[in-house]
Amino acid sequence: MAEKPKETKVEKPKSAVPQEGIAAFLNPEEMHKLSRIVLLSRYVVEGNLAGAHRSPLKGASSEFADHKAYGVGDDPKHIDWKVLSRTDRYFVKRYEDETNLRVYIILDRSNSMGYGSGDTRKYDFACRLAAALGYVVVKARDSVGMFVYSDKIDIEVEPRNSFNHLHNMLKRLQKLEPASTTNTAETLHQIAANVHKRALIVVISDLLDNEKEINLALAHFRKKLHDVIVFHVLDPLEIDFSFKKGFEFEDMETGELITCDPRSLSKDYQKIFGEFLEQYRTTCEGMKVDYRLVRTDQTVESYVRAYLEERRRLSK
Amino acid sequence: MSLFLSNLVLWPLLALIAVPVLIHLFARARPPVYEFSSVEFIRRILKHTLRVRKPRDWLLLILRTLAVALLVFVFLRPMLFAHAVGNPFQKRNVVVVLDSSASMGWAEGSQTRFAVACAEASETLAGLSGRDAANVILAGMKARPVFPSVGPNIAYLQGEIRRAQVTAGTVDPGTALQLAVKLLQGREGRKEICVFSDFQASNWRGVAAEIPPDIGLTCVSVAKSDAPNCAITRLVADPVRPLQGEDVTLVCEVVNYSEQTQRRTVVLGVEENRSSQETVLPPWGRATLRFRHRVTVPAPFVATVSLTDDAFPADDRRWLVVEPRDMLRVGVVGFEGGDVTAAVWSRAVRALGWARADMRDAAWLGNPSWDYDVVMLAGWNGDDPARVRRFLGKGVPVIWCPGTNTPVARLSGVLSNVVSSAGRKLEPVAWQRQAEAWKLNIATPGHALFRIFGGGEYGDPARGVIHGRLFMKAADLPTGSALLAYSDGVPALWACEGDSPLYVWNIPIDKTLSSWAAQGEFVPFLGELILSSRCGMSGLARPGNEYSPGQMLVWRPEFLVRVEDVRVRFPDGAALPAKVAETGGGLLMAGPAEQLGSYAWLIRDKVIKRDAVNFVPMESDLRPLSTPEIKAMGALVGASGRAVREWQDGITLWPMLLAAGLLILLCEGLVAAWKRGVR
Repeated sequence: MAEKPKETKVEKPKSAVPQEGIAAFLNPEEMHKLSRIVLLSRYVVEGNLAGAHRSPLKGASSEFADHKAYGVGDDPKHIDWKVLSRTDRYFVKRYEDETNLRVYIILDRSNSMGYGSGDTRKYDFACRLAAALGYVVVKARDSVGMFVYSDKIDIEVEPRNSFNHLHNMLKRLQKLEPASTTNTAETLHQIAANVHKRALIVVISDLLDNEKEINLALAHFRKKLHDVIVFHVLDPLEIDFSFKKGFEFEDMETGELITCDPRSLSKDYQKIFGEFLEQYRTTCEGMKVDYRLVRTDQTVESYVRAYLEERRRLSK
Repeated sequence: MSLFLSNLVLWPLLALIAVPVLIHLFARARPPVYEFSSVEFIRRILKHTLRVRKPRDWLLLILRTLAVALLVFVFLRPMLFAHAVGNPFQKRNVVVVLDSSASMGWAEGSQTRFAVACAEASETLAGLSGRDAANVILAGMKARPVFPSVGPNIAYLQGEIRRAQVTAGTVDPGTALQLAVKLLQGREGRKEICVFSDFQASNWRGVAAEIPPDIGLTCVSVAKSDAPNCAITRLVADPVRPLQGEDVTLVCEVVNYSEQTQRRTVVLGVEENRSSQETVLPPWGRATLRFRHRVTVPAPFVATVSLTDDAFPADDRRWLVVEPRDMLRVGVVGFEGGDVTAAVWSRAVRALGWARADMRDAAWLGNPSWDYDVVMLAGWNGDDPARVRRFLGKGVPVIWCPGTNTPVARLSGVLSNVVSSAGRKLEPVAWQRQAEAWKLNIATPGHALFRIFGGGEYGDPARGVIHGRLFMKAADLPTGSALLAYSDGVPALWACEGDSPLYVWNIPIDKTLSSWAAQGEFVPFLGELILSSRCGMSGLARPGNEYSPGQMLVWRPEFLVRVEDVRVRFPDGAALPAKVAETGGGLLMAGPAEQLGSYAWLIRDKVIKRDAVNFVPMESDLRPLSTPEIKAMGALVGASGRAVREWQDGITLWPMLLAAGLLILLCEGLVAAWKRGVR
């Protein structure tokens, strides 16, 4: 595997005309394949529109939820007369409310996301993943919003359920490049504080920051009853460290230089990095956060399809 | 450090030690920079392994430094060790001492030690430059320098080394080294002595080389191992000068100088007669073989013994010139009070028919002739015993009849200088006389002296009556045993033990005191005493006609000869006569006799006298000195002449270093190319 650290190639659809918005990240064929699947929340969510997702509120859907003793202010038309005849007491029927899904995609654009051992940088992969998820969400008439952050929140887009909104959101994302250091934990805390209604939080990051702080931030989301998905985007070389010669490694965020012979360190590296990944996996599992390790040497479309299919099966 | 202070040119060599440090610093070439998402995990690993890796780097640096220090040490080795040789950039004066003693003839492999020594010495001389001077001392039987002083003609010296041959003699290391020192004294520049030898332990051990501090001594040992050798170390006749018709025993001693048991056959050749005996020699042991030979004519003959199947042939033959007598010569010396005894002895000896008695006075003992077979002293009181000990030391038996004034202490003081001054020891031996006769007894019947009396044909030697005697006790006499004794135990004839052929006679011969001399048994008894006293003394006697290699042959003719008529024939029968010179006092000298074997003195082609030149037994033990023993002489010990030359000249290492550098660069290039190919 050849390392080309300085090259930054963004995988783009082959077209003579420069593409913008969603077309810059997904081609029609991919969009077609993604159009038939949906992103479901495993928990109830709070939307502002009627939709296909369970709401914590009692609403006007046809699905019965429970009974409640009649009280002042209740609509008499909801009195269950059959219960009244049997018990001679007044109860009103309540029905499940169904609302739309609000998905927040939180995308890391710190300098470390600019790394890519092959043609694809982690950031490029993360953008395409975000675009694919956004497309799936909007296609299901759910709302998608976005936070792009580095050491602070760079872009904040409120959720909407229109393709035009998605297009504009991705156009803004298209103009961004990896920059600055990362401050994932604080940023996530900040977002968690701002998102009040239950939503589906999708974190796309390499999580190369303080693990404990990030776990606390993810717990913050869970405390607010958000459904959280973490896409841990990593380059294959970051995982197995299979370099063939010695380098002076320069940290892309801090600029720190370390000279070493990776061949002699690969085993130790794999061990330590494995512990790093395992820590995220077990912590997320404990918090019921859907943690997914994503390698950048796979196609976005096929990964998203496989993931959503699995998620659909598990949610049944 | 003084070496560096005195030689500023050496400082750059010290700077070489900094090379590995520089290499260590610059060799850490920076690898290409690679932008990586996070080095946090790498740092964690390095933090863990740094404790291990850093010492490894230091170890590498230390090893590199040591390697270069070793290289510098190699450069400086001649100067560090041969500190006495002085400034290496000065003119050199080298004296090569080449051991050409007989032991150098031992062949190790295909070459003798001497050939190896010559090659190594020549190699050393080849390392000298045109401005250097040298000399070669051929240390054989006599240390002999090629030039009278140290000279620049190296090629001639190398030619002399090529022409040099092993001698049959032994080297005197001390003399050779002193000669070398003498040759170097007063010379300007570096002064070196290089000794090429097998450093034979029997020869070199204990040599105190008094080498001045400004002269360096280098020793190159060419002996690779102990050489298993057998040698004939002694061949003597017993009696030394047999009488015509008498049986002579030729005693041959064979020594095994090895750790293995050896089986050898010793062959004796006397004129046309040959006889052999086989012997088994234990490790480091010796065997004594005896061959009997009857002397038929009173003419000198040469006996030769040889050893078969031995790897070192030089010491496997030995020659002995036996000069038989037609009549024995007995010197009878009469002292005060002993005239009667001397006269009786003299008459009895003459009566034997095969012996001649020469009456001598006391003064003769001071300047005697050594051509006597037996000396009889009548009435000697034991004063100045050294005169008598000279006879005893040469194996000439002495029959001593002490005088009545002989102090007791001198009875034993004849053989030793320990004379007690206590009490009665200074008093004369008591003279006893009585009317009642003492009778004699044979105290040692098995002695050879009484062999012929066993049959009774010659009567009883103890018969007779004796009225006077010296009252001496066995304790007052030297260690020995009584052959005849009085009935009360007083010794009458006392034979001393060991290698001292001394007989103490305590039997009065005067007819007023004894009837013993008047009896018929007296003459045969005296004859047997003279004959038997000569036997068993071969261990002491060194034949006057035996020489070591390199010695001058000496002859004192008993008749008038013209020097021009005298020739000496070499052992190989060469017609070329040896140079004979008269040295005064009637002595003729020839030689030096450098070859082993039998030499013949000729007058008009008639053999008058024979001499034998035999191998020096000391050279037969071929074990060399150990290296620490050689070093103990203050010498620098080298394995070869090349090593000595390298010590002295140093090695031209710059081409090698350059080649090594190029080779390393080439290897590095190849490895780099290969690694690029792999990627």
